[in-house]
Amino acid sequence: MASFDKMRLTPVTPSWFTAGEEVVLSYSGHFSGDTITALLQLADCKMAELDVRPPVRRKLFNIMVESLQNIYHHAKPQATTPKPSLFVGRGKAHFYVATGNCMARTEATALMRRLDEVNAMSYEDLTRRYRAQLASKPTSPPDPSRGAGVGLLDMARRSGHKIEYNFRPIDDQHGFFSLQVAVSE
Amino acid sequence: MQTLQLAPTVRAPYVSFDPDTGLLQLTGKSIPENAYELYRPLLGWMAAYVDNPAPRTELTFRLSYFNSSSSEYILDLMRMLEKIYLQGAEVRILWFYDHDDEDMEQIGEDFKSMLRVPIIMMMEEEKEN
Repeated sequence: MASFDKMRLTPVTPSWFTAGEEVVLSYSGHFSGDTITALLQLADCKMAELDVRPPVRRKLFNIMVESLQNIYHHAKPQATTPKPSLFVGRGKAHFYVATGNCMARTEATALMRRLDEVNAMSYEDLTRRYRAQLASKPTSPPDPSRGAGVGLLDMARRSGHKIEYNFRPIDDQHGFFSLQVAVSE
Repeated sequence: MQTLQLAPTVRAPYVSFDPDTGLLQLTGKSIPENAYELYRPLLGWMAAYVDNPAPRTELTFRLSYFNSSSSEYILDLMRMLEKIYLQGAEVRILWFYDHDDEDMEQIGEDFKSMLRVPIIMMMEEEKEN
């Protein structure tokens, strides 16, 4: 897997990958429900072509769903540069799903704190927390950000790796937040 | 009370809830952006069903993919059935997963650990998806 700092997840620099890595899928732009569906279908086709084992394929698909839906629910449409992105790559022994979008600094700080917490947990801790969080959710009214906590725990558990992240400030208020989740082949 | 039947889409499962036979099933993918929208009619149907359930109820999940926001509503559906189970109704939930899908198995185990209604783990051999 490429070190995270080498991965420049922005649409203006189409050079995220290093030698020995393969681009499975790369997209940047608006993420509508239909775009997400199309990207998921495309990723599924590519993974079938690459003969990825079904368990790995399923993990990647699920992680893509969670990360893309995070962008869908949280990306601020008014903060347009750089645009939200998705990158699926294949390193020597891993696949990884990287997503990025603009975010308020305060929001990013909270998210990074949550990610540090998640990354410090063992599989058993993740499972305990996942169950506790799921059990404590009230049903309605719906809150689009509600799934976020459970979503991170779910991704971490499926991945089996630490979730890498990066925050690049754009101005005083905003920055570009990217998240990278790996799956062993 | 009417049978609830919903056609599957790329993001939503096939749904068939039959109030007369008590056979309720979700099959396919459940990865909607807005899970509440998808599950609202199911939860509404279930709320009415549990007031006057069939002699036996069997809820079957045969999902290949689902997102974390769906899982909350799946838990809600299960909880509604748990309530009538604890009141003496005959209820069971079948949770299907592929033999090599450890995540789907794990999530079935998660639900099982959170609920008292019987959840039967159904491993499927062969094939993908």
